[in-house]
Amino acid sequence: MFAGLNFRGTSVRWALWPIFLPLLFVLLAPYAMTWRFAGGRLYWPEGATELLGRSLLMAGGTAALAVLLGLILVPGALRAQGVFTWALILPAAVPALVPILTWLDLFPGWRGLTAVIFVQAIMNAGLVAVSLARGLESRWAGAVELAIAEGASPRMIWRRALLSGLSGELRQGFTFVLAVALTSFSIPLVLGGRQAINFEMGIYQALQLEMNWSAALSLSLIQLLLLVFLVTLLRPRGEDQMATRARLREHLGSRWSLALGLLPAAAMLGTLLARAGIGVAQFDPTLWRELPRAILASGLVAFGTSVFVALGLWLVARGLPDQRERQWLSAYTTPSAVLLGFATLALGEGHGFEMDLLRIIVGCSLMFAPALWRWRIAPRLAELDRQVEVARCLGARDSLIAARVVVPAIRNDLAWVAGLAAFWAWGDFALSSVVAGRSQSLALVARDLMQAYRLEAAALCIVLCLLMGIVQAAITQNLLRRRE
Amino acid sequence: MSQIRGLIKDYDGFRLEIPLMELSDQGVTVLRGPSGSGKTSVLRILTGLEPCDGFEWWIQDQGREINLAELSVRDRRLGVVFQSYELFPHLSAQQNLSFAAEARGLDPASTANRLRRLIQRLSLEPILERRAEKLSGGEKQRVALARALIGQPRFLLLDEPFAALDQDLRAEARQLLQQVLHEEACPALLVTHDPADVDALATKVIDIENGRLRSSK
Repeated sequence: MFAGLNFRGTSVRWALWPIFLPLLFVLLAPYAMTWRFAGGRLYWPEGATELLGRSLLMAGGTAALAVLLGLILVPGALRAQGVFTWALILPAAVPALVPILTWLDLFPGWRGLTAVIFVQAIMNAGLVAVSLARGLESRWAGAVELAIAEGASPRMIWRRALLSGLSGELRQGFTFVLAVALTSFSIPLVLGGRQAINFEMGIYQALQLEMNWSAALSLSLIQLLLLVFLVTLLRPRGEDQMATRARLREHLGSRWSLALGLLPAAAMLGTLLARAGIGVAQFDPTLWRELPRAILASGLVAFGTSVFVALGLWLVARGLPDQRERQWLSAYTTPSAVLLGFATLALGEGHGFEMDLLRIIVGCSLMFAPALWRWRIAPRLAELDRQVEVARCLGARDSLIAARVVVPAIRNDLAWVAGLAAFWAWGDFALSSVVAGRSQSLALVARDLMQAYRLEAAALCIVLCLLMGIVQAAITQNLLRRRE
Repeated sequence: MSQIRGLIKDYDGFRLEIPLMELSDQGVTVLRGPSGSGKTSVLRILTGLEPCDGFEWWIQDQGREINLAELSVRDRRLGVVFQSYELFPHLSAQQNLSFAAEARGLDPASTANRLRRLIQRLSLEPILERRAEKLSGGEKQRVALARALIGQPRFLLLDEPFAALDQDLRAEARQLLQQVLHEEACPALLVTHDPADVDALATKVIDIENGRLRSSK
């Protein structure tokens, strides 16, 4: 596994072990545990072919629809600036509880495969659009300007040049959403209906309902192979050319498309606030009693997760991973939220309050850290490559470079990822469902209320999750940021 | 003369092939060539940032010949100024300089005089406390030069150090570089495609094209 790594010096490589060990734990512990319970038996489980077909259908359908919607929203993404860009990405970044509740509110009877496809596609469409818009700005800005100068209309440019020119970005977007949808758990869990419609659900059912460890292990290995294949297809994007961005916005941007792209975020916000207002009246004494404990638990989970994530990524950065090592780390994807959840059982037996929280914290940290690494830390470290090279030329040892150049330079990024990890942890109920013996956190209480169709009360809990998450994220970021 | 031998490396669609190259022990050797000719690759291999099998760089050091290619990046003790200077933006000019001194493991007390002289020579006093990201192009260039020289390098490598400066500032910067290099008695390799750099600074000129040396004078 480490054959491709460039071992420059023992001290540096040792510095990378704190991240490799958790990764190894995540990768191996679930398999080791299930291997033991399965008695070393691997087989093609009954119904696996059907599950594979459904899983691919669900993920493929989600990816195709997300890319189609993303294309429609590209002019809007080109038009969007600042907060509007964030609003386009928001559905993909908020905890899954929010889009689920919105869907249940707008389409109460619509569940099953198509519901899952639509929800996931709408969640990811804005993100795909922004990503396509950035690709357009970085690779086609000059050519588009030239075409406009030569008299081509925006429609002609879209039809004749950009659709074929963006084929690489479209493939990347499709592959990314496909990989996300293959491993999604929370949305199929609530909206998928009785039948398992993807591998995560299959694994969950095999373990939770049937205690069939062999089937779970076999299914997760099939999923892992699929994921590894997909991740190898993902390539980093090119660099932005900000100078021409404003002109592209003017020529190809569209207010209508932007308005369409903002609809999901607006619908989510509208549904949440409308329901939450009624939800206050629906809160019975039992719920009011449960609330402080759930808030405390969620706060502790968010705090622990942000600390673990920031600490883990800080350790990685201190190790000064080179380009190849960064690619290796970026290629890593948490194999399965369900298996990861079960793997945290290795931390200790029993389902007490503290043990449940510890498991959720470890699970959430290991689930969020790879995504946050890819999103923020890896690109930032790539930007620092030249500075690290200069420092090496000046004769600096790696420990000095890490302490004086790299860590101070990425401190604000670490603060940012710690804050986001805290925000996501407030809303996690997928992994927590697997890990916790009872509904310890606020997000789990919200899930219980949703499953009981008490949507107003659930909305109030979700609003609380979001508000508390935002406050804790802001405090975390503020505490960790570098003072100028 | 210091001798470079076996600088041969295959890249994707490009071959760098320099069996022998001689750099002057004094003054500035200019490596001149158009974009894509392999100048920067040569520089990166010399610094040790890029590996190159079979490459040797023989240099006179305190009366004995040593092969720098056998040493690590740190132990080669080279000074480098890149085109974009690559100062550490979150550190002040002073901190950039003290980082370089600390990186070389220099004793602060014994370095103080040298540091003071470089600061004075390069007129850095007014900007010492300013963060590097707030400095102008010319100021950055002067700090980068002081940072490269603080560790008393065996050789100074300069990668188009005037390219980011305005035309007005270039002549002044060239003159300053020439004087400082003379005072420090530090040989330098200057990578450039600007004929004005050659006219102002070169004691020896080597032309490179398509990864091969064309002439040396």
